[in-house]
Amino acid sequence: LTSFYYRVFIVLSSIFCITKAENEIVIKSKYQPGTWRGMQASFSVDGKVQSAQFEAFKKKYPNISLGGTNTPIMIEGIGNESSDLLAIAAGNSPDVFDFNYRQSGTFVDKGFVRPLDEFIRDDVTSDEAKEAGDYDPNIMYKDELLERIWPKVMDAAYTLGPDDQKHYYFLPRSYDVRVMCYNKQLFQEAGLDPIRDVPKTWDELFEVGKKLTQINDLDSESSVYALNIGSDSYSSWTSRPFYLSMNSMALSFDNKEKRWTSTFNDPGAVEATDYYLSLLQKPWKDNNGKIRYGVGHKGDGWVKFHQGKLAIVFLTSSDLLMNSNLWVQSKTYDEIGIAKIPSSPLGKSVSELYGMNLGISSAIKDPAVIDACWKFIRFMGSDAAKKIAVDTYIENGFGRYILPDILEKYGYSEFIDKVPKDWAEAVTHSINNHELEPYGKNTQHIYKYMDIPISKGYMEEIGKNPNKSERIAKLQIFHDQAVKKANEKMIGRIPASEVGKRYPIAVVLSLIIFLLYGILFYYVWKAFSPKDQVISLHHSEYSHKVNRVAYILLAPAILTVLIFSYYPLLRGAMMAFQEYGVSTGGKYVGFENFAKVFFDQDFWLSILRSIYFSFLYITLVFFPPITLAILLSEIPIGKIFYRVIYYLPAVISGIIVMLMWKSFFDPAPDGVLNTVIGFLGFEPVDWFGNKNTAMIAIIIPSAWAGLGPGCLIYLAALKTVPSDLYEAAAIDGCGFFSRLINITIPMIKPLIMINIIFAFIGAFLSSEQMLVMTGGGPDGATTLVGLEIFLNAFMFQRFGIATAMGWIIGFILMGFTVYQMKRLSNMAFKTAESLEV
Amino acid sequence: MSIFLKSERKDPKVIFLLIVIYFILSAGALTMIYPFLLMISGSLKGKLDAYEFDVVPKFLVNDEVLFKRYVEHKYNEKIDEYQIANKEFVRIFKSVKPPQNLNDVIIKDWLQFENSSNIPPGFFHVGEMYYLPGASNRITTKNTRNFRNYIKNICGNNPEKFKKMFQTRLPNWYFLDLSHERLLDRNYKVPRTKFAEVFYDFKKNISPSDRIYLSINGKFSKYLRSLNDYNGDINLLNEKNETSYSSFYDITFSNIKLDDPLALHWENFVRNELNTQFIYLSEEGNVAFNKFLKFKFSDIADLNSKLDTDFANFGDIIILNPTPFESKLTEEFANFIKIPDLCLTSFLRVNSVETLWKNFLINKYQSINNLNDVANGTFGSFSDVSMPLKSMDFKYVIENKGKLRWNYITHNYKMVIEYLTLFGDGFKNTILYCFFAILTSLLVNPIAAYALSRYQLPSQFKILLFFIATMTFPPMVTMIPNYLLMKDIGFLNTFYALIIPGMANGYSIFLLKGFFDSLPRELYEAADIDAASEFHKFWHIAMSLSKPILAVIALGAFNGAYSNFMFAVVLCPDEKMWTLMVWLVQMQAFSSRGAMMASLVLSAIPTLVVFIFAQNIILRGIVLPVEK
Repeated sequence: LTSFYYRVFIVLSSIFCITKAENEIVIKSKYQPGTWRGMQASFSVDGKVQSAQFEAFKKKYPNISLGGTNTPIMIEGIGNESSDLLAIAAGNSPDVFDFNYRQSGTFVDKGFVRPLDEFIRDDVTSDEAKEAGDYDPNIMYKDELLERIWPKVMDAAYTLGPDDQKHYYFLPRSYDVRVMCYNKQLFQEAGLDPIRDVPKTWDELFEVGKKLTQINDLDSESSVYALNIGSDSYSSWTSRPFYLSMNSMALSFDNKEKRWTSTFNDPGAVEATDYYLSLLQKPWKDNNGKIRYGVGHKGDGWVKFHQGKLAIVFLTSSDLLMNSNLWVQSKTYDEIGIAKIPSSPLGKSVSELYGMNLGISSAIKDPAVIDACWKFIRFMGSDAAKKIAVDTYIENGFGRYILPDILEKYGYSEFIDKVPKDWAEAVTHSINNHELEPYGKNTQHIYKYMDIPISKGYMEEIGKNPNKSERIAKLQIFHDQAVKKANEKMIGRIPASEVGKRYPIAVVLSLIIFLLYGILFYYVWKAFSPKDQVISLHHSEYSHKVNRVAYILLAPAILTVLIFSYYPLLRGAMMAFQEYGVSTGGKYVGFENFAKVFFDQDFWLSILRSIYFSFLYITLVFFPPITLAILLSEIPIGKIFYRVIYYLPAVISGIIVMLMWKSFFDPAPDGVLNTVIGFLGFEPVDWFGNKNTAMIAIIIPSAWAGLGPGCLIYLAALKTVPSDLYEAAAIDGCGFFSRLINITIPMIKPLIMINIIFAFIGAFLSSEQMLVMTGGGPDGATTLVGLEIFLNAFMFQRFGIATAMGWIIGFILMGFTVYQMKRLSNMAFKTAESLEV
Repeated sequence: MSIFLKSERKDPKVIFLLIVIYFILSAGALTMIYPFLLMISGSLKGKLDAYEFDVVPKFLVNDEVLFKRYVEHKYNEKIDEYQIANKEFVRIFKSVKPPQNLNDVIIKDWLQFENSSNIPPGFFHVGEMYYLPGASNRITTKNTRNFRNYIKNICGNNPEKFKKMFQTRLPNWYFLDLSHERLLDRNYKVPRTKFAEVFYDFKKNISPSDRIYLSINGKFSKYLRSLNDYNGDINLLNEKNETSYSSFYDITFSNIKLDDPLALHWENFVRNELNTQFIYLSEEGNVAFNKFLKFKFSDIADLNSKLDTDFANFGDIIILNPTPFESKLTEEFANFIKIPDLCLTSFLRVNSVETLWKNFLINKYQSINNLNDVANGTFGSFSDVSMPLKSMDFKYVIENKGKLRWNYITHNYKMVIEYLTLFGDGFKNTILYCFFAILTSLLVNPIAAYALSRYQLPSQFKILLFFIATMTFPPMVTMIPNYLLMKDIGFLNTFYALIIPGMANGYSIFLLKGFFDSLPRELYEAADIDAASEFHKFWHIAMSLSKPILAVIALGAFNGAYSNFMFAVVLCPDEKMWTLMVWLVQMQAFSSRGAMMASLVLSAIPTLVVFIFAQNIILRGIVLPVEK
């Protein structure tokens, strides 16, 4: 109730506020200049730049102010992409979105951002408009537009919307390209010249890497890595320039069909993956004759780079300031070097272009707010804003790290001579030889798919194989699989002939499911109806009155269950036949969702994994508490002591147990679990990086936390076993195990049977563990069906498909539930206390 | 009952089996406790020892590790900063060794120097203030906390005043997050903002042990080391300059030495790399600088208007007072000293803590021999007496062992508590959510079960089925429509979304109904004779006889609400509605490992307390199925 009054108060006070400051327009922006992740970027030069830009904006438009925050919620392995989509799904979207190219397709496709066409005229320049006499300062004309949007970005910004028409959807506010950055001091220590010996080709990179990794060989604590290879879902991101340098694009757009297709299975891509794996796994001999594998470091590279333990990283540099990256801003030319990405065997060195872009939410209806948003997104990233940035950089002494042509443009040519030539060359080369970050339908997930061949290759240790044609052949298969998956899942591209075949099958299967559901209900209904009708005794007036009281008492429970369980069930049944979008609503598509799900290999794989997981769960989580209870009830003293200790883990709530264990599963040899198994003589294990161990690693926390609380109920049950049975057995000369098998277990069997089915169903549907610990990785090995549904619903916003999956799982579990219902109908429940003998 | 009879316990076979059982149980207990202890030990750690998994953190028992931790915190986790200040090359803080011998005389002198001289705040960085930037490193350090409190006091604990005073859009001072200062670098200038002013006021008053004095010698050594000419090789340097240094950090330049072969580097370094606050000019130099300004600006009024100054005439302009604040005049000064033709080498003077220290020693001892006599030293000149920073740090650690240990034990916890109390209404939300979840589950379920059990409705089995059939619904089917339903009826971001759908639980009703059925009928009949009301019968008979099972239901509701993360964030994405659990999971994403562990320990406390108090009730309320 307090929260209700609180809300009324907030609403009232906000109305009051609005009437007070009539002219002020507040826009909720995802982009908050001057703050970084909600924190003040106080003394950093970027903080200064953004603050100055915002001040200038504020000066120009005093009546527009910024609201909203940018604290994201992170979900493991899915990245912060999810926070936006979750907010939109919750109807909590900001007015101004800040997104990158790979997200742009989704924002456009799902109708989250509005077209900006009303503010843009690409047919005339401002001068021409002035001449013609219809110039409007609030309109962006051709000249400004072309300067603002780089040619390759234009394809992403001016694109097909949900209405199949081309519109402008966003304006860029920043541009970044990837360059190679290296620690000069480490080069020196390795006996390399920090300018002449910079690797220019792939082979050179490996050779230089060999030298770098041999610095400080003796002191393992501070051993040096040559270059950073992103871990897990970041490796495809890190390695992007290698692929682009092999002419391999991630996606292509078919103009005729107006569809996207994944294309990252071309020979260039395979070659790039092969090289990338060699950086991690190729065997070579060091100066001491020891065989080593690869030169790269997998994991969090930045901290190592900062500590001077990692020599080379691929980082982004902006189109203004060369050392704009927060990580290297405090480093000077003498400490770090910037060079272009090493060339591929094709002789090409291509960088990837990133950028943040601003778009306006389609949910805004108030023209005044739309106009304010337009003014904001137009200003941030405009020439005026760039000028402010350059001024601020110069003022802060970054003059020699600004790109020469920018210096020229904004009137600071006196600095040009001081700009390090090699840096300027490298960054300019990257700006001139770039490809856009992949963009298109649902492309925010592309790195996950592009990561598949890399992590598969890594797990199968393909990099260690000396035979190149074998490696290539294997990797080609992985790439083909990944592309097929990306096309089907991410882009939703299934050949038309296939669809025609699938649909009828889907109809039949779906009908069977619904029929069986009906039968199940009938069956359970019957199971619950009492065999002897002893009840119908009351027929009098009085009993009607009494019954009315009973129904009133039942009403809250019945209504709750009706509204929050039955209504969603029905609505879910409908949604399975719809293509449902948050901003577009539902559209009936017949059995299409079922057709997609039935033929979705990932879905069936996830079910197999769920079954496997359930069996592991039964063995590792369900049975140990029973064993523990039997052991505990045997010991004459210390029962309570052990009981408390075993219960201890249960005081930590579920998600926290998982987080804690997650940190114990550190893959390094000195990780907790690896230390323990090392003590027992095993090799260290990359727990979450290995398909087989990941599943077990997910279960261990549940086993640990579930042992104590799980055993309590069996302890209580064991107490109810009458001791005269044991006495009789003793007289018959039965030993411990024969008593256990012939008396104890049969006595507690009903309890075990009921619980085992609950445990099985619970394990089958679990998703939280994976969401917290692995995000479904590695390579989908822990994507159980529950997670698959969650991802489909909340990450891909495919509610219809997710619901259809839910129904199919319900069908699969039907047998268990029927059995369970039947058992329950024959059971009475008593407290253990009352049953004790 | 135990399988073995009491009488059998003397049988050696049984004894053997019991020993085996005890052994297994103890081994199991160890695996239960060990992760716990690791968690607690982990919550006390910092960056240095975060990846050492020991039950008792080393810094608690080992002074050397304590020293390393202290140094790492003090130098803001930046090894560069340590290298420069102490003129010592180590790659990571773990390799830092305590000083071999402390020179008491020098230490005493240093203390006297520190107290007597007025060291400008631009000559040192604040220690224990920053952390390495990174996705998962955040920890609130001692001086960041002090600074926040300082600001909080200035604003009178009023966020509105804070926003106005500092012209910021940050909601409050907790969000202040400073990036490292780089006061030695030419391209680093402190902006003239209110915020920076306040920071410098704060900086003036920090305790001397938290100061990181900036060594220009150290910076110069690093500069030499990074030059391409020498490629980081001291032998190459010695060869080219005919010197005999054993490492780059042995090269000292406390003041200008024109005859040294390395002077050219020194000059370049001062002209181009060193922050202007450390540089001033000789008298002739000032004359030349005035000339330069006169040439550039037509008259003093022109200069004043262009540089935002108010000098009466050119002669007044003397660069003396070292300040790191940005100003247009220092820009001009920087331009001037870069030009060797105008600003001769002999004009350049350097002022730093090192020179102040040297002057202090000269004043005190006059000649280096006097110092060597007193301090038992072998210094060649006063320039060789480097600042005893490491010794001071070590001394501080030895003298404040207990305080430091206590500080490291608590500082992760402090951060978590600050975070939770400052961010949103996490506590309030969690308490309300748990309270209402328990209350509703204890009302709705028993009432429904009572109605079913007492009134023997003709349709009671169908109603029971209606309830219990919900268990067969795959949650995935209902999850999304449920979410949409919440959205449609406006429950998102409210407590209703969390509480109302979970009010009635089919399984609980089923259990309770079965339990109420088993209560003796005679009790109700006796109550009927007394003409007791229906409520009386419900409350005093049914409910009061089922306390254990109700307690278990309440406990379940508590645990469910307290640990709910997924639905809590999906149904209430608005920060204002986040519960503790959501905040904690959010915190894991960016906080340091130690703080993460501390948050785990803290969040376990409520459940631990509930368990301790409810232990017996849980055992009594366990319900077992019995075949009818």
